[in-house]
Amino acid sequence: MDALPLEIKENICSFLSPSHLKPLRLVSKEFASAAILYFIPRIFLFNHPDSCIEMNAILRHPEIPKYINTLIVDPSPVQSLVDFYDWVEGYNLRKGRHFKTELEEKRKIYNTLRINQESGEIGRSMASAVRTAFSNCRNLKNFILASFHPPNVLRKRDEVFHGLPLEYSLHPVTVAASCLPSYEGVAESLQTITIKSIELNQWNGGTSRNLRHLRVSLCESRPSPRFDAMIHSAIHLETLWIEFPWMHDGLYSLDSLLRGIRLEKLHECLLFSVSVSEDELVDFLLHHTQSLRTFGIGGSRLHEGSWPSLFRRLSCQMAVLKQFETVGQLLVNQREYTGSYMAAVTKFVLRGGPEPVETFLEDFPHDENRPRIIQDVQDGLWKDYDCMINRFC
Amino acid sequence: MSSTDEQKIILVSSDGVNIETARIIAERSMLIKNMIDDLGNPGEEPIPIMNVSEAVLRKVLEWCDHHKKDAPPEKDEDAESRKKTTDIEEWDQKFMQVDQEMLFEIILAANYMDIKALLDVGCKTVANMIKGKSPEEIRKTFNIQNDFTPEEEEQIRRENEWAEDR
Repeated sequence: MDALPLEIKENICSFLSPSHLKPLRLVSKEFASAAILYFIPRIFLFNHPDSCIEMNAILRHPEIPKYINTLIVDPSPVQSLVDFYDWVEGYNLRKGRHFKTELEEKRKIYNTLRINQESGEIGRSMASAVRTAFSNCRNLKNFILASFHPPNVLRKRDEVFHGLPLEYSLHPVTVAASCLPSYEGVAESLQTITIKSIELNQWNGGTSRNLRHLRVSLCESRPSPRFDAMIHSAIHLETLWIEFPWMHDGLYSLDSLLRGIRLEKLHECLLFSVSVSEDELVDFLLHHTQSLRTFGIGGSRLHEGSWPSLFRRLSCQMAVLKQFETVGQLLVNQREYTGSYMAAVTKFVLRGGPEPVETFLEDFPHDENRPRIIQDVQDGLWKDYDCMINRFC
Repeated sequence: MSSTDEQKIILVSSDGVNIETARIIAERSMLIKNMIDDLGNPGEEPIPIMNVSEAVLRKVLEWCDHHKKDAPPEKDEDAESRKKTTDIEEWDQKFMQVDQEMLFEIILAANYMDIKALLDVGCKTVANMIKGKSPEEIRKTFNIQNDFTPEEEEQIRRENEWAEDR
């Protein structure tokens, strides 16, 4: 093993996850050095002072910040006092009433934390940590803003909060604008922004000319006008996922947004819970015939035109489209198309042939056998986060 | 005139042994491919492979022979974009069932001869040997000396707390 140069040891480390790299870093100085490239590729910032302290310690390290490429920020606060006392009741039942001291301790932690969150003190520390991250991590290119996490991250968050319950995505988390990388220069460096269940009504994403992947699942029913501006400025976008909250009668119209999107390299577009006109959607898709490889739409409504007409206008027109999927309800008078009709539509759009005849179900069945979009995980994206956001996976 | 696939070339190992092989096999190595392209007359002159002994070179050529029809490596492949799985196909697993010295020699040869896929298979094999082991077990497996002071070791342990359990 001694004969192997550092670059080969680094290559070995590239095949190991952080869990496996931890013991390896304790083996020898050379392995500690080789492992550092892959040891902490992404850092997490929670709405807790200890999380800010940890992130600042990581960012002060002489080597680690060079290899961090992803910043994940979760601004979720602890739950309201009422919810907390509900949780305490449950805690009592689970642990037995003799754990009084432990419970008292939790209550103190909760009260201190809540005061610091409400006063904005932690928010300021988070903002400072985010700014330091963008300043110290020269390879930082992915920014994830989420209150949902894969299980290993949830465990870490739970440890930071000593098991206290947090607001979760059903209660949209509104982010203080000061927490986010809003100023020019910071947003410029980003290649990927992923947002899950966060209200962004105060965020000025700035111009994002270098942005290649944007995946957003928003909590607000109407985004700020700056949201459209941010997307329109992202002229190198390759991936675009947009999801709004489901609203029976008030789906957000994507017409003006789509009208402004004319990209050379857009290869994947997924839309969920939006309203759009047939003409705008067809124009948008036909403009991207030479680049779009994957398109999915679900839970959406046409406020003008009809789905069969739209499918007819797209049939065999998309030169490089490999995956076309409609999922959930494409709203048609409170009915859903059958799985067999949608499967026929997919074939019809991709390969032509006789136009399928519409067939409906009165209820909304879940078709497990429908084809799924196979995720093409790109450089710098994280499959564990993608799968939580992508309804088409 | 023979087709490129059938052309034979001669490689000379570091211990001076001539080994004849098909060009298509040898050209899995980007080092050899570039040398052939530069020389212009393949087969006429033996190609020296300076850092690789006969035993290791024969082993490397065995791998190249088995993989001669694989798609050529993508030139612009970004290290970060490669799928970082440690899955190894069955034939390669058996191929890598050699003693540690030979395993490391193959890795070094793959690195020198610029055979990315073989280098990755070798590195994945070592990575799989590391997985699930404690620091002491890794040292014992690969005969590595602990060169940390207690303070340095404590610092690494503190830093390890920052990493994800993933």
